[in-house]
Amino acid sequence: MNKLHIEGSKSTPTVILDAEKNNLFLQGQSYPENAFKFYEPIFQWVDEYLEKLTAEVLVQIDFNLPYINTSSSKCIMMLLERLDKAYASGKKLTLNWYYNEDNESELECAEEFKEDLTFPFNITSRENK
Amino acid sequence: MELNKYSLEPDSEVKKVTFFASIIIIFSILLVGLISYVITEKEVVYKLKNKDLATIADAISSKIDSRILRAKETALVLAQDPESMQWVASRENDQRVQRNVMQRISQLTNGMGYSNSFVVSALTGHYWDENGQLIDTMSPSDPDDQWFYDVLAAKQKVTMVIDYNEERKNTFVFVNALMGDVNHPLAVTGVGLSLEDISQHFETFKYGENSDLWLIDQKGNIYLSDDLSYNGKNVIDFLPKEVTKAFLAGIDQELSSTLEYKNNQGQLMDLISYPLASTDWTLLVQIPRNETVAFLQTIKINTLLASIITLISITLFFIFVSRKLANPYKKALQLNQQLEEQVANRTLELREKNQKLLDSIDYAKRIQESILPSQDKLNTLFKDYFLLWKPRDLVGGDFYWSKRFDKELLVAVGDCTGHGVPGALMTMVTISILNQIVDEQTKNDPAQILQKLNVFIKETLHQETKEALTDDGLDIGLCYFNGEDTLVFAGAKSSLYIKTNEEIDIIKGDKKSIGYVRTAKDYHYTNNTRKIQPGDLFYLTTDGFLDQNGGPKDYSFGKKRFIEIISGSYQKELSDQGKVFLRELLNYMGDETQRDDITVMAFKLR
Repeated sequence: MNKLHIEGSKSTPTVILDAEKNNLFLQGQSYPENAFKFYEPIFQWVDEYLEKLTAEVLVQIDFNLPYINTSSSKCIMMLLERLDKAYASGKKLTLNWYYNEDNESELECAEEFKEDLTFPFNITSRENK
Repeated sequence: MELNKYSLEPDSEVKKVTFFASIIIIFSILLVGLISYVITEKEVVYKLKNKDLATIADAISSKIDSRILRAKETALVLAQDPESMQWVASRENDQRVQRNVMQRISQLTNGMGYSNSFVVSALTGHYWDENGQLIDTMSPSDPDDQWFYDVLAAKQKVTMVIDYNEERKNTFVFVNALMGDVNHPLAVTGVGLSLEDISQHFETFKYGENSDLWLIDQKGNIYLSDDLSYNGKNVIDFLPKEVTKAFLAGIDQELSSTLEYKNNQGQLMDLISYPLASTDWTLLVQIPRNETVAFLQTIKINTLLASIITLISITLFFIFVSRKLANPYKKALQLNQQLEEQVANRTLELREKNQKLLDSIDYAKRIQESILPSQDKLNTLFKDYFLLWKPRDLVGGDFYWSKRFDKELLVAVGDCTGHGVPGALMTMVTISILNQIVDEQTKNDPAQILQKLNVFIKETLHQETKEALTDDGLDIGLCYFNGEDTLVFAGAKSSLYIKTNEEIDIIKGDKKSIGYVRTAKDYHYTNNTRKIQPGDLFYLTTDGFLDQNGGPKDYSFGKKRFIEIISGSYQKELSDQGKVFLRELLNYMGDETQRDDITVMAFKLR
């Protein structure tokens, strides 16, 4: 499976989805003009990846999203729900959500996401990384 | 738009190249012409001085020489005639012999072209001419007869005297021969010949119209000239003095010499002398240089003609070259110009379309503003207030809303998904649904209002299932004041900040937004009830303010700073507080652009 690498911009995060390393990586602010358009290829990749994923493989997910606007946060939630669903079906995955302590809304935001999810969701301060 | 930046008209570069090429080639032609002219001129003058003139001089001298030689022979024949000798010796006494002698002399003169012939007796001094007349008797005392005694004294068999005869305007050569023993001659006999016919011959040797051909002696006396009127004159009459002097000094009897000078008309003249073999005479030719080289004029004209033809050819050639070869460059420029025009037209089109769009949105803004409560209305509702309503674009998804029923008051600040026109559309839907709910169903239960709003939005936008085409909604903070001392607040991802006398009370709303697919249709929002005091300040904000990035780390503005502004400025009039909020926000943003729609509303109740 091909690696999905999207270079980040001021309003979109860097995305590296690596099937070989079983690592999903998102970093950066997310407030594109059209969030669905930006996240669509990511959904597709993740869907395909999760489908092929075998139970014994551990997927490492690293998020660091200092700002997510409303429509992006919906997309992030959709992404997390896909992962949650896969977890529920027996796939192994763990997510590390990194936040900056100085940026008060980040932790809050992460916590809000975490509330609705069941898979291992670690919220880690960036300073402790 | 600078369409004239690339001039397509005369190609100045090609012009320059053409010009310089023409200059170089014409210069070359002229140089070659000049060199060939100089070489040819030199050659021609050299030929004139050393060959042509020699030929002329040879021809003239051989003619003169042959005439003189013949005259000498004739004179000798006359001198050695026995009958004549006998006649002279007899002191001219025998009449019969005299007749014979005279007949012979006469024959010589008439038959052989001599101008005269004579016998002068040394014994009697009688001078007999070709007509048999005794015309003179020699006398040593007569200077005219001096020549006779000179000839006798010379004791040479044959002598020659050249004499210019003023009256006849002619030069005569007298050839004298001594009759008998040279030591004791009986008589002097001889012939005279005119060189007039040779002078006529000179015409044929003439080199040019204004040239002169003279036969001169060493003193410069002209004996023969192509022009008879010159005969008997001296070259000094026709040449500058210094030139004559220098020339005569340079005359060499054996070698030809040349001299050039400028005459008083400024013409360059060549003087060439060539000595004659049989006499002491020198052949002198004067010829203007421009006549010598007259035919070189054709070289001049041809060179000029070649230059003109070359100039025309080169110009045509370069015009051709610039049309054909330089064309790709020209075409590129043309293409570029066309493209620029297209871009300009496109830009204009886009500008017009953009303007239309902006006009349209601007009108939408007026509609949106007309739906939002006016300043006047807000002034009647609140004792004091400030409002920051700053859509990121012309219109936006943020809204504020209020409704008064007698004593009761509802105040809300909301943030619909998106911004710009889609956001604005959402605000219209939301506000009209809100009005509907509070008018027709419930007004004193904010949680229920939000719950109904959730349901209506879902229904209106057909977002009841997870397969919905859209997933739009809003965050909202809604306050209900009962008109006495009670506030009820319900929030969908929105908080209310209350500055009381004692503290800043933050009432967090529920974490679920309204309308989104992820928010269940039966989701219950929570009412938060507070007792309020007159003078309490209420602050509602959308996340646009709190999430605006900026500062040294480009983080969001954050609630902490928001609260700090409240605690730092709550004592001011609310309108002044609004200025502080705005100033703080702008300071924090720095050069960053506004990320989302921003709304902050703060108020104090009446």
